[in-house]
Amino acid sequence: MHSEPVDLSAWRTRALDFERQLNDVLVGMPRTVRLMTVAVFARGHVLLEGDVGVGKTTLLKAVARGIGGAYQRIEGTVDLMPGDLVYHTYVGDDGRPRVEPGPLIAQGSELSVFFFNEINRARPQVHALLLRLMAERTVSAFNREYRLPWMQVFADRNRVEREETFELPSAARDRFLMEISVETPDARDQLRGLMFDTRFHDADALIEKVTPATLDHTRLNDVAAAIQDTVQSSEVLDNYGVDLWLATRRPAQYGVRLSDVDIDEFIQSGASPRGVAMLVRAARVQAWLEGRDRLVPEDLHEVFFEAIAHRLCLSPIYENQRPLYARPFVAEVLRQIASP
Amino acid sequence: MNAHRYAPRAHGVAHGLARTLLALLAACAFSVPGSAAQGDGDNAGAGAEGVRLHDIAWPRSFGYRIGDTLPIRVTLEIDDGWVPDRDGLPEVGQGDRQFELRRLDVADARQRCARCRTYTLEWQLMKSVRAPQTLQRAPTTLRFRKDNQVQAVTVPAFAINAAPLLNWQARKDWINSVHPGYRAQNFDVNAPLLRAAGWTLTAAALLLAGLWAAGRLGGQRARPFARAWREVRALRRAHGRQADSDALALAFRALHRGCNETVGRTVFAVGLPDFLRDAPEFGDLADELAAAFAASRSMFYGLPPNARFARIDDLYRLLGALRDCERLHARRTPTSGNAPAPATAAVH
Repeated sequence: MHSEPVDLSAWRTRALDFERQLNDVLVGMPRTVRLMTVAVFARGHVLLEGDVGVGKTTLLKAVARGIGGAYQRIEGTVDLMPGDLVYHTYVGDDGRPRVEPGPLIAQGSELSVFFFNEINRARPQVHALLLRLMAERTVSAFNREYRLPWMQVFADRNRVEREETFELPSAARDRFLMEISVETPDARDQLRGLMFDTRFHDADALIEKVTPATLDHTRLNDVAAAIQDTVQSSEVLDNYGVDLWLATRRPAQYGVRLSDVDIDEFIQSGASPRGVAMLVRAARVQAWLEGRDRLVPEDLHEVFFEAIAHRLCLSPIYENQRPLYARPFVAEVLRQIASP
Repeated sequence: MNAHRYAPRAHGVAHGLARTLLALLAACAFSVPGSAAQGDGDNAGAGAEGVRLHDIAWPRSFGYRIGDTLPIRVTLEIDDGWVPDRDGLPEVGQGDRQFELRRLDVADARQRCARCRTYTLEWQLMKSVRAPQTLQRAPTTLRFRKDNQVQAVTVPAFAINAAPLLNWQARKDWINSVHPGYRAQNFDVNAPLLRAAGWTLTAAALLLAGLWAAGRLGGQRARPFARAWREVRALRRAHGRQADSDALALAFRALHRGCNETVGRTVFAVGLPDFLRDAPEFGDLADELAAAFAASRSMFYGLPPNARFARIDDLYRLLGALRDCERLHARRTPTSGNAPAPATAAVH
């Protein structure tokens, strides 16, 4: 652990450089890159959602390279068990069984990015292990406890295929700082570039362009704490944040309406206290990246959907159509709740 | 005017025989056939003593339905000593299948002549017809006596057109129920209910006038900046031009409410371009609005202080200009009164 004081100004420069490098790798995704940067400096875990082949893995590899430290990846399958994350067994050359550390603990505390691909294909037992991992950043194995202080979990959820999948429980979803949707860019020239520019055909070569360890992963926790201490809120903004929170819990009371939706029946439970704390944590990072030491409403807006939408528990009738309703609902909350 | 009403009365068989004999004698002795309303008898000629027909006021001859009444006013010039003979006038209730006498009034008519009296016979149509039809009423004889002299006056027969009843099935068909002779009910302006209604209407009118004067009526309500301007004007009056920061904060809030309600959503500093796109009538004030929003952010969120809009007067002037633009726009596009739903929730 480091104890030197943190020069936030210098770190902001590094953060913006990190962001710029990611934007060079991922064409047409400035918002996604900004949110990933926010998550890195808020030290929060991220749930990624997007179609196949939109660049999620490339994004994560680039982030991992920019952060530095060790990167591990595991594929979620229906037969994956918690033990598979912690150790793996095989028969050695001498014919004797061997037990080796699994992806979680193979690099010890150096693990900085743990990518869980298609997390919804894993069983609830695996989700339970992940719950502890995200909450405590520790895992017990081989009669000892491994601490992973710099680890960030990035999980991917395939939203196209639903067969043989296990939906994440709300407690596990709530552990994620954000759920970020990775989308193919819309602009025609960007699509043309992705299609015909050979630079984008070799993802590994692209990732190589990111300067390794642009951000020192061992300092990120200190930087994150300094950001949270430095960026201040105000009474008016606090009230605004509370109104936003309550509007997710009791939307009808706050004049939030959605067409074709019985708003009284829409929400089973709104954002959790942990959720809104994470929202403000992310908003502070956003303010810092914008060069401010004071929070303004736009900082909350910038991260509100990604930090809050996945925490909302909708009524079953609407839960099945979450992608259809979640974003309009959050947008309506932001439209209706006023602040100077 | 003296009026007497002849009520129906019972009479015995002997009484009836005597009346019949007298009538026969009178008919034999004095009757002279006539084709029109005429006085019958030996004294019926002009200048002769007795009872003479002065004139008859007939009702209209068309547009009757069952239950309608036909008042026939017969004015007679009656010399002194002549009185209606016993049973000389038709009795109320008397009639045929088509008409029934409903009323018989007698009144002096000295405005017509010195000895004139008017007999009003009000017949009621008792027959319901299935199709428009002409109905005949037989002549009516009015008989008078002086001592042993008897004189009769005949009210000639008359005909009317009757029509069937129509169903009144809906209020919108009320006009079909109106027919000749229809009389609206009297409007009693002294009725307590009407007086109360009058006072209520007056109070409502005064209330509307007050709301109009206060700018809270109809389309005026759809002018958020006018309301915000009034709020800030009240703040200026209450706190003076050198208002404290609390009053300035309230004035900024009024400005934000005006913006929010104008476009029906919360307007933040970064959303000003969208605001001006949706409400282009304020385009000329874009720079002022941006400066005011920047000052508001400084005040509410602790950003570095802003030199502009540090006094409530600055906001008062900006809101006045916004109000003028709003009013001008409303005049040019009258439908703009239908402003979008305001962002109401949690306006601090």
